[in-house]
Amino acid sequence: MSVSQSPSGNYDAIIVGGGPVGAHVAKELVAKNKRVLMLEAGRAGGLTYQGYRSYVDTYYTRVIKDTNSPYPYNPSAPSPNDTDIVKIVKGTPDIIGYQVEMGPEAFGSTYLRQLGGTSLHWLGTTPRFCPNDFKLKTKYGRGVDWPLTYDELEPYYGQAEWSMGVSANKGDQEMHGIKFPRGYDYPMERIPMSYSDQVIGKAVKGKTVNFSGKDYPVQVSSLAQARNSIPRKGYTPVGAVGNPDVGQRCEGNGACIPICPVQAKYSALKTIAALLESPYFTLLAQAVVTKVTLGANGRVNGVEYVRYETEGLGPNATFTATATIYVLAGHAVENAKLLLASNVANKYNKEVGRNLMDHPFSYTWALAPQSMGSFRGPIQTSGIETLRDGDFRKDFAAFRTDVGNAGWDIVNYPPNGDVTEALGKNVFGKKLRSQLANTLPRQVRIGYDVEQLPEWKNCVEIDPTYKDALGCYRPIIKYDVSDYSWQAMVEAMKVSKVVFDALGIPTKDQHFHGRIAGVADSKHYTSPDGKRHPLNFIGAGHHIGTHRMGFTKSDSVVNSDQQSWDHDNLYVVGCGSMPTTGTANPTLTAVALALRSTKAMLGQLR
Amino acid sequence: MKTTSSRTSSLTPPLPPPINTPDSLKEHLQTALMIEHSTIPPYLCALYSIPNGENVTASTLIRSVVMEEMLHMVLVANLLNAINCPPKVKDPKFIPTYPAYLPHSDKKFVVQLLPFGTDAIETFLKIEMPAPLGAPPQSGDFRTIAQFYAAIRQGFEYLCAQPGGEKKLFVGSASKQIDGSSWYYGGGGAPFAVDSLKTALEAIAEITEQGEGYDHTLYDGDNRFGQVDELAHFFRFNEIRAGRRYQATDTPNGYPTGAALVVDWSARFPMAPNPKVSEYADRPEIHQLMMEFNRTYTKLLGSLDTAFNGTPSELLKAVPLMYDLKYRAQTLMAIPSGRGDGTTVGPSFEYAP
Amino acid sequence: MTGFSEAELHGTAMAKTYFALVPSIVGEALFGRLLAIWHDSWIRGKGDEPLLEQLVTDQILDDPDLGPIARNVASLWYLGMWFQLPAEWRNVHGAWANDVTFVVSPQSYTEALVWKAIHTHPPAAKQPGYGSWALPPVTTEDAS
Repeated sequence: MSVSQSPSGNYDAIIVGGGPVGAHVAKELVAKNKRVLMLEAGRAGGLTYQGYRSYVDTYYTRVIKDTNSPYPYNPSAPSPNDTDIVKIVKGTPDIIGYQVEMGPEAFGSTYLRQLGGTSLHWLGTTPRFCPNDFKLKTKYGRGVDWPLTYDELEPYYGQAEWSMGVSANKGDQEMHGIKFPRGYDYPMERIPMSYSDQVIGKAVKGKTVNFSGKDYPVQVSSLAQARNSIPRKGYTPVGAVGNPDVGQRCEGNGACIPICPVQAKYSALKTIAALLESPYFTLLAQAVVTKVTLGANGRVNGVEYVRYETEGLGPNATFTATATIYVLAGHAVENAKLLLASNVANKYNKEVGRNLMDHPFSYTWALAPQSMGSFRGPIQTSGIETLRDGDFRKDFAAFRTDVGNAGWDIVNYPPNGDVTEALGKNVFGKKLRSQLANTLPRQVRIGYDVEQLPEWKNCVEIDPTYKDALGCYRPIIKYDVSDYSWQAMVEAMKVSKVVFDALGIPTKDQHFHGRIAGVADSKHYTSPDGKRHPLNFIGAGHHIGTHRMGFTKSDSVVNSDQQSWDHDNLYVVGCGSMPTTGTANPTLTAVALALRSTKAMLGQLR
Repeated sequence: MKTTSSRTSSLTPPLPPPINTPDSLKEHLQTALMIEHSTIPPYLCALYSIPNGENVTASTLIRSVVMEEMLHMVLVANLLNAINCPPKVKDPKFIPTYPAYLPHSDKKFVVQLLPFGTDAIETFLKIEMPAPLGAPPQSGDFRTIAQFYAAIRQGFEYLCAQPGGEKKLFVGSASKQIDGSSWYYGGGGAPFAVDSLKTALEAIAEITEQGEGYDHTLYDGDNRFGQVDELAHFFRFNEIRAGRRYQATDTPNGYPTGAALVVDWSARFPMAPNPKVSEYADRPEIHQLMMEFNRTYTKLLGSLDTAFNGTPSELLKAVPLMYDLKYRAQTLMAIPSGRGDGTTVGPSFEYAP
Repeated sequence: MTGFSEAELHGTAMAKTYFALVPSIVGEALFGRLLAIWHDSWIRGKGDEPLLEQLVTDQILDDPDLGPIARNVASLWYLGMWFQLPAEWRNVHGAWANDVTFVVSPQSYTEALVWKAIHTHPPAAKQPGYGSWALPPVTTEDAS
């Protein structure tokens, strides 16, 4: 379709954004024969097998293999990149990339604007939220409560797990009150735990940490993951788009982030490819929505979008599309940006763009005395999930512990540095080979996805000073981390200490903080006892908040159906609707929320 | 069956077919397992000699045939287990010494380990040759694999036609059957359990039709099993030879007349035919790599043997070994053979426990 | 230089590419010198590993002209990458247009020997297969 063409006709729903959340809204509406138009800002290259494989080849040849490295650069629908994120100097915004960072802390998370969205480069970890995550205020006096409970969301978790294809064993996931209905099980068996998971799990058996006067077990358990495994009865694994025999199982490629070469990992491309079979579904890529427009009655009466033919060059043309309901599913930052640019959903409050959160990810690393078999398998197969909830949340944040399989990965991006450093010291030949063989497989890295509380000052804003090649606003990010999360990072080191000691790692080979060449700048935090702690964290890529759901029109942007309080035919969906972060990687919950919201949408379309 | 070749006259009682005892059936099924396997190393050599990213269509076609040959091995193992005969895979005698004739064939052509090329494809066409219309079943010295399977089919039918025959024949343990998608995946279709004459005949039909085509058509008739119809093996190889795809109006007797299929016969590693470890006894570096390949290969056969003999989950371990085999083969194929003729080394597929 | 046998190096199918690439970046003269001195070290040190190591260190790695190139050749084999030569080297020999940090090709990435050295595979390539990561790792002792 050329730029001058645009699909005509009236749609039941327009969905802005072709990521996992938008795709699942579309799936439910199309299943009920509703006419859906999906507008995707990026390109749709991943829909052919060859197109997707070209991303894999691109990944191979990229010098810096960061989260968006496999995907084509697109100045007409830019995305934030890891390499754009730098330390913020006070008073000087970081304007290197697409995202304008005002600080005081760098917001170190990225996303991807392309069909499939960030699910192209996500890790694929899909734990459920804990029941107490939905009532943080009531239970621990922190943050806010959600306007819905775990039990209300539970059926949609199951639906999301079956739709995305999650591999897990129910028993591994039943903790912190996470319950499953009788007869339910995940569609596929759990992904085998890596050798290093097994070694660590055995070593820490029976060990505990003490948080706020209470002992918690340090226990390694298998993670729920949206990647293909052995199917249970009634489920057929979905393979690669355009080549379904490929990707029937996770093949251990070890590159979940930024790209699963066989598409054993779920991406929204799978859902969208299936939708394209339906006459009720229309996809329009390279269509950047710039404005949500309102009618005299205060209801949304259209979206304006720009279509570009060639990235960064044009020709471009502007169109308006109309439908009965409008669903913004463009990502927490993009949704907020679009609402702000359209000057909508702000009649009762100024919550749009506010309460931006992430899971600040702190990490520790060590060199085990024996081979851990590192650099094998999916990047992460297990976690220490026991500290995702507990009374200590009155005092400091909960966290999910990520037991890595890829050596020191984010610490110093092995193995390039290990090779060049050895060569620089004139280590070569057999010595080089054995030095690498005797160190890299011993690398262990334990990281923490730390809960963050909603704060007004952490936000997405827009300013006419900062626009992209298409003339759209670039997101301006203001971000800080409060003591609630900092303190958790300090406490989390106790867990690492238990693990490292249990593995028999000498103290000199245990690393809890500090700066390694070329890595995130070191930070410091002073705890209530006056101790100053050097600490590192990066982003987890979990953008949460920005258009949160709430109980009343005064405290939030959307209600529990993710429906705008101001405009009843506008839905703003995704991680941006979440009032708090919990500790779970948020995509599964975002999809479950979206599935739940489709009930309200369908009610409106009846 | 309407007719059998052994029926000479309607007045004399029909003679039993050549396969007429359970023991004979078992023996022939074990041979079938060997036949299925014996085609895999030659196919793999052709496949792995194509460098990554070259001859994409040809390599996709060859790969799809290999996947189906593996499925056939699983189905034959199911047939053997159904009649309570342990399939034997990990055995030096199980592997042909290439160049070799197909086991129990009429020895009209030899099968070799060759790189991708016209010679290799010509051989593959002979392997997958459809039986001529009305060709008799052949339990030994067979001309086409299809005729050999026809004899096995007759054997099943004959034994089941005896009083209580089916019940007496299918006494294998159901737990040894490999079915569904738990253990086997990645293309070629899903294996199914064999526990009756009906399922046995279905398994035989699946094997022969994927090879030579269903009912003298170009296609494998897989849509009857809820899968997409694909060209039978013979015709897939014929597309590569002709450099042209089949189209809907084409017939088995004619040439493909569809779109061009671009084949670059020079885009391959020129592996020297039928390599042997012994040839490289004086080149320890190469010798070691070849031995490592053979040990992996033998380990793979061991995994299959275990999987076929009561532990179907062992098939999961076979997959990593298959991949490992591929990477080792590709390494060998890139190493100059030192013969001075521009050829490279290659995998020898020899037994090395 | 790499600790891998000649057969293993050939097995990557990258030899020709690298052999053509290096002189295209640093020029025939320096590359020729590197090869000649390498050959000399190899002949003199044949069968005597410590001597060979000493010769390579003295004659090549510690040589300000050849050392950086030799390290880059090793990086090609190990990582499939060319690293821009150090500033001191460029100050003497000028800036070669092709002397930038880059991954040579998709093949060079997938054939990088570092992964073989540590008994695994490059991420997103040479996949090891479902469940392989749960098995005990191969260690150098098993492999030799």
